[in-house]
Amino acid sequence: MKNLVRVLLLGGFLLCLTPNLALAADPGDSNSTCNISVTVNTILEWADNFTDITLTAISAQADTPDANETQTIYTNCNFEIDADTSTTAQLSSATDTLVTKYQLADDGDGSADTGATAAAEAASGIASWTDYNSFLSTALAVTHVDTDGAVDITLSVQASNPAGEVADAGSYSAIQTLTASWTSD
Amino acid sequence: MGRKPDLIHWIGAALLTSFLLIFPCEVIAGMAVSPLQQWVTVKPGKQATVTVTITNTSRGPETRPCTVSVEVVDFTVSPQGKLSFVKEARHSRSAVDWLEFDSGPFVLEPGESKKLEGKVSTPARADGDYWAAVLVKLGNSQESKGGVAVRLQTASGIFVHVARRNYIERGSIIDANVVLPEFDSEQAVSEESASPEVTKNQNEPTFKINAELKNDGLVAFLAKGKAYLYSESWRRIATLSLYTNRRRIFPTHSRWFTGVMSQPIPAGKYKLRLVFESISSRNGSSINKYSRKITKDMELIINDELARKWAENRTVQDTKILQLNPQELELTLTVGRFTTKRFQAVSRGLSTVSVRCRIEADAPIRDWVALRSADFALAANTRRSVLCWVRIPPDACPGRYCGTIYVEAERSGLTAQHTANVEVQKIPISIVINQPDKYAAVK
Repeated sequence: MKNLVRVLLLGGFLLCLTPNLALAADPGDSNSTCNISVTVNTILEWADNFTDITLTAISAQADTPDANETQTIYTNCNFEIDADTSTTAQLSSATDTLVTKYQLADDGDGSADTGATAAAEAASGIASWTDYNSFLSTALAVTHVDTDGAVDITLSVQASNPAGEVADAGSYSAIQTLTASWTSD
Repeated sequence: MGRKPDLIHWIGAALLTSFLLIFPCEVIAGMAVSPLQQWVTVKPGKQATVTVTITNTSRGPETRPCTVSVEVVDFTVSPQGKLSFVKEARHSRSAVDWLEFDSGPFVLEPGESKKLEGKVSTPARADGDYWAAVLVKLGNSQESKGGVAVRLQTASGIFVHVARRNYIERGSIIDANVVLPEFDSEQAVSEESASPEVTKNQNEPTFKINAELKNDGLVAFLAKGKAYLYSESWRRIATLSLYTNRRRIFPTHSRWFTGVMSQPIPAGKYKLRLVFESISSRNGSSINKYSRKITKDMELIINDELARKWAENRTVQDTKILQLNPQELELTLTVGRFTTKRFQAVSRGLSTVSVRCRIEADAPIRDWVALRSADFALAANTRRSVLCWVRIPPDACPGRYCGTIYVEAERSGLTAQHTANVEVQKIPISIVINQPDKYAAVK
């Protein structure tokens, strides 16, 4: 009798268990999601240093040699470029100075691609030769355009003798510092 | 035996140098700086940290190590909005002495990134906003051989808000002037504008108002201004939006704003009211409520001769005040996604324009999309990007959701003649939320 009860209990237990076992055989799909987020900060990168800008020799009073170098800025934000207007940016020798003028250009328009808008270029006066002490007195605002993360900047230098005279013979040099900085909100 | 690796190293270096001399190739060593500006909030007498990351991005085998040095300097912003970085010239709101940075110089190998952690220690007496800049200088790639050597540096602004209490933005208009068009020479527009940014287009006759707003408080604020022209009986004749290229004004600083209108004003005696509002915002958002208004009243006379010549030289105004690009926004996202999208507002006329953007009130996406810097002014022929932050909630259902961004542009001009100085444009925004692909990871 005891054995019969045990067999019946076991049978009942197995009957209860079997559907669960059958379901457990195929666990089905199990989805889990993971939200991943990252913040990209504002970035500004000078691709490299400028090569020194070397001008051809001045051999006559009216000579005005000029030369330029180009460098790339990679960026994902608006920024502005400023220049040094101190005498460090003026071509000078141990005894004399040259009339030193600068120009800046960029390869974008601030609309279709990253660069300075026509209004920003006009405000900063980069398109015309400007004396070292007033060069970029209004900083050049560069507008970032989505999906264009690079802008080429070309710096040009022009040297000439002071009006009505010739500068002392010798080697002249200068250091120009370009500073990229944030723009307003 | 110990000298052998050295010998191999030197032979390798000599061979590489010879190779570069015989077959010169371009080598690069650049410097990325991030972020360009950051805010940190600190309690008086406490400390906080700021981080500036410098990277020498590897762009292939031609990338070589670069030398970088760091300097914490003061900066000021001129009334015309020009930044000037100055060494050893402390002002009353300088945070230079509170910032401790490792100044280097550092040599960054190609692909190497360095996180510079700066400690900000505020004195117990500090109160309000303070600032400084970190100048990151790229070392010389080569010795100067004469000519002009060009040095490059990037400035990262650090703004410290010492939160002692709740602050009220305080400002005052310390100077203002009106520039009337001149017709007795070829150059019709006066060049005496104190504000630099508004485009000197153009020999078109325009009416300009310049106003200098000073921050008399302890915290920086974003400013927005308008000038209203009234008849003697206080009937509004014209509205001008005031523009500046840096509208965040720091304590003790002042800034020139300019309003330009191209429509001719009839002869008469006028009252002019300048009104500025500070937008309480710390992170570039202009969504917050306005604080108190700052006003100044002036008087103005347009004589018959000027009015006649002005009317004769009247320019044809563009029919469209603002151009938007793109004209619709479409995003395909998954649930929980956070991203940004932007559109540009371009001013095409000769007058300054006030722009206000908002999301359609009843749109289902209203809580998902936030506009940053959505309230601003534009000078003639300038543009500005409006950033849309899009955050899809994790429990959003797949489907297509639509909404509209309203862009309200108000051109500076006469209001008495019922001219259409306000136009509202719509940018449809469509967000498609995809069903997460459960097998995407194994495909």
